[in-house]
Amino acid sequence: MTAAPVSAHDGDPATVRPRRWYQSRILRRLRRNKAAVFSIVVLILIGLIAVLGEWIAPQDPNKVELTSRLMGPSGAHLLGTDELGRDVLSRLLVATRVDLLASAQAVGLALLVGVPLGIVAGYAGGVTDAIVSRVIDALMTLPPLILAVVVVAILGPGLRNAMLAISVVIIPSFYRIVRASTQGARSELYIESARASGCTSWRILWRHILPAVAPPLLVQASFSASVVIVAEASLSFLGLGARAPQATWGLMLNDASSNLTTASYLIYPPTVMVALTILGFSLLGDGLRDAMGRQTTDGGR
Amino acid sequence: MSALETVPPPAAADGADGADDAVLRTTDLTVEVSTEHGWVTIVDGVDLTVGRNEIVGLVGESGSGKTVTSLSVMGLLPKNARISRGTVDVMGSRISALKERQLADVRGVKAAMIFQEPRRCLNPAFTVGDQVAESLRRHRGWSRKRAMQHTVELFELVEIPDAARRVRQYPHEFSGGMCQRVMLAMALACDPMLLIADEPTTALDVTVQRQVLELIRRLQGELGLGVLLITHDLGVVAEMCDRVAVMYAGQVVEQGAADALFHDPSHPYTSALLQSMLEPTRRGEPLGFIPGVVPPPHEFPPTCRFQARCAHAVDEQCRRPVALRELSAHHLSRCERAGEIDLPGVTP
Amino acid sequence: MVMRMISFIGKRLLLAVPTIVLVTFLVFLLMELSPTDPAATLAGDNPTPERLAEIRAALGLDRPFWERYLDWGAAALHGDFGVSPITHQAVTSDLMFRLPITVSLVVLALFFAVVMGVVLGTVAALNRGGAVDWAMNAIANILLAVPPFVAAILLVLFFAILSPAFPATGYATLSDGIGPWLQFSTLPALSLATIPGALLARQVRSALVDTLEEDYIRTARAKGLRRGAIVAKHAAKNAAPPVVTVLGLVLTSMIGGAVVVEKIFAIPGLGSVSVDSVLNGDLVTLQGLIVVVALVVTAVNLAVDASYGYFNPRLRAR
Repeated sequence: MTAAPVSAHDGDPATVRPRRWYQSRILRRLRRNKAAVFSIVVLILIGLIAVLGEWIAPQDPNKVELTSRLMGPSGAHLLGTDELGRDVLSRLLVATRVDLLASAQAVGLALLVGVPLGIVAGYAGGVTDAIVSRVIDALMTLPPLILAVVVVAILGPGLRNAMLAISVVIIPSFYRIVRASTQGARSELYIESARASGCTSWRILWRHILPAVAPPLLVQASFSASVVIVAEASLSFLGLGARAPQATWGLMLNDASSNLTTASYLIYPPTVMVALTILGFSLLGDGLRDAMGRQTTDGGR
Repeated sequence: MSALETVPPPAAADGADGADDAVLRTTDLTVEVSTEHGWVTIVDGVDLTVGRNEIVGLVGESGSGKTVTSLSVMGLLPKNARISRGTVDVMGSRISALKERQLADVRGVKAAMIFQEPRRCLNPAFTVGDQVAESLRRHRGWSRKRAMQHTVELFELVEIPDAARRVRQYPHEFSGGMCQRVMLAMALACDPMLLIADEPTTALDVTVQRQVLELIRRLQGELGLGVLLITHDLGVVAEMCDRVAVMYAGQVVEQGAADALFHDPSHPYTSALLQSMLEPTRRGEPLGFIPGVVPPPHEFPPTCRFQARCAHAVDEQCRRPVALRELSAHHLSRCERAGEIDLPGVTP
Repeated sequence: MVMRMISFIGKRLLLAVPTIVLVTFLVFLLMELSPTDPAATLAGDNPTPERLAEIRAALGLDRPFWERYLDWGAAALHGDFGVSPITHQAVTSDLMFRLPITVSLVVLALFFAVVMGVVLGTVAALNRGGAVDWAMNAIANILLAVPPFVAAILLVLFFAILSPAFPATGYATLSDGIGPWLQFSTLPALSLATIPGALLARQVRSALVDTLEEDYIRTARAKGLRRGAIVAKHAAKNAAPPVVTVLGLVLTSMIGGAVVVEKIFAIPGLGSVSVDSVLNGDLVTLQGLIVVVALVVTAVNLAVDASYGYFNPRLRAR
């Protein structure tokens, strides 16, 4: 449909405007994918809650009111109160920020460690690659949650340490993708020619390898975010992550499970938030992968 | 398209006149396929008969509808295709009226089929013997052991050396030609009377092609099979076939005894095909001699369908649908100008 | 054939040994660097320096790192993971008591997941593009979004509290009989099975869809096989390898999931012991646990790799 205007500019390259990022093929494909659009809308809403949570919370999330303990949903407390009489809705809104921020930290940290390691191993090859890959393999012999528990055992419990533990868990997935993509990009001809024409290593890295690595990495980051949400909630639930009186989804689920017989309404709000967030990130990952096409799955292996 | 439906069906006139003698008879076979343009006719009113003990060639470029015709004979049309008109009868069974479950009882028993690219047609996860014996166990209820014993005999029939050992091997241990022999053994396991061979040698080496064709010829003679041979290679037709039907854009455009059709083609398309066969440099690319391509089904014109590519097209005559008409005994053509134009043939 | 199999397994085991050694070494090293001091944990509140030194000596912490690691490794080779300073139990016998509990739970969960995955995935593949396919995909996506421990809480709420069909907590071993074992294990196994079931369903669907397009499926139809036989025999065996790969991955993650689920249902398996030992600062037990889990995971991966040869005869020649 754009054929006519483009051909009109054919003779005059200066007037051909470059495509903006939002006009890219990937984004166009993503917009056509209903599930992906749904996931983006959900994630934006959850993000808004995370940013605004503190201000829109109807009450102080930590205000203990022993006179109104375990009250079911009502006009005063839309989602009821917990065993200390705290307002569930307020806690849920505040917890959203804590969880999202913690997840972002875990993913960010894992990227900061996994990406350079992967690039170094993939680009250098040889002994460096062998050593790093061996260590990563060793990490992967343990199931994710066991690995996280072990790291918490070493660092001690707490939300910050739980996040560190979880980032250790997801480092291998980033490392593997980046290493594979770097190896692929390195062996391709354009790198050879870039090197021949006197590009520095950093320039090669920036101009050639990162663009090749970015798409599969983005997909993996989205999937990892949902893994992190599960792991964080699990660790908090076990008492290895965030500690009371902090509000997180995992702790709220823990509270709910200990009052399951008397106040089953407590279980639904954090369940819905956790499920929606995981659903959002995994659908977004699916959508990105499909939108980016085949090269992504190749790099991911 | 509706204009074509008013054309009267041509008189049944071919080599196998007696209805008893026909192992395959299609009458006005019309197949539609679901596309983005809606249901589109891709095979249009095909009348085809294969008698006992004869090989009938079905020839045409890709897109002419010959493979779809053969699949509908087996009831193997893909989900997005359907027989919208006409009938298919195989050995007295009205295939076109059968449900999937009933079709499964007929396939392999009354009619069997072999395909292009035999290696891809065998399941890599099972031994070849198992895949052949499976047919016997399914249709005859034989035990594994008995079916396997007969499979060894079938392998000997299709000239696979060292048959007793080879039945226990997997497809990847066989060459393409050997795989086609296995496919033949599988097809003939339950003694069908009709064999459909869809481009059986196209994917094979030239020397192997000849061996497989000779094998088909020999088995056909020995077992008295009716064979429908689908190919784009007129050289194969010349060697193998008793009668030929030429398809273009979903229609049969010429049909007759192989000698007569090669000698004295009466449709410009047939003639062009024959000329392209003679052009040695063009033999690699199928039918490259004729300019242009077969139009996609949703663009089949309501005129003579070959008119756009025809060197002999005349405006008034060729601008309307053309019926298949009998020129001489058992020789049919769908050209308005058949008889008035002189078309070159080949001397076999 | 058998010989080749044995040599394959042997080679893979040899390859796995350095990885497991590396795991234990890394964990040992990290524990050494850890800010948490096991002696301080044991000594309780406000210990005297003498008391601390005493405990250190008792734990052997006064000896150099290398020496301790090699001692531990030598003992571990003989199956001796030491004695827990917290429970004063031999770690090996404790873990060997708990291992079958977790294994039986995970096997039951795997059974549920496979049934769920194969049924959902096959139905979706056979109705590709239709409403049923869409519905199966929606179900899989929802199941994927429920972490095992949340599934556990919901299952307890619905099937133990609101309608008491199953006990909410507790455990019976297989030796107590199949009936009681199923009574206690069904809910925990189901909560472990939701995500794996959904993952398997997706993989089964996509593998079957690809396989059903193959030419040999058309051949199978052409020889008159019925649809059920075609799917169950010809398609299934070719679609299996990617599914088995996922099976191995989910089996591993189930062992991780057992950490939380066992805690919720008060099942005394490996998962419970991992959490308890972290909370108690029982690093000796944890170290032994890591070896056991790493061995189990290695065995699973080995079984997965060995299965490829069965499904794909072309691989056997190599």
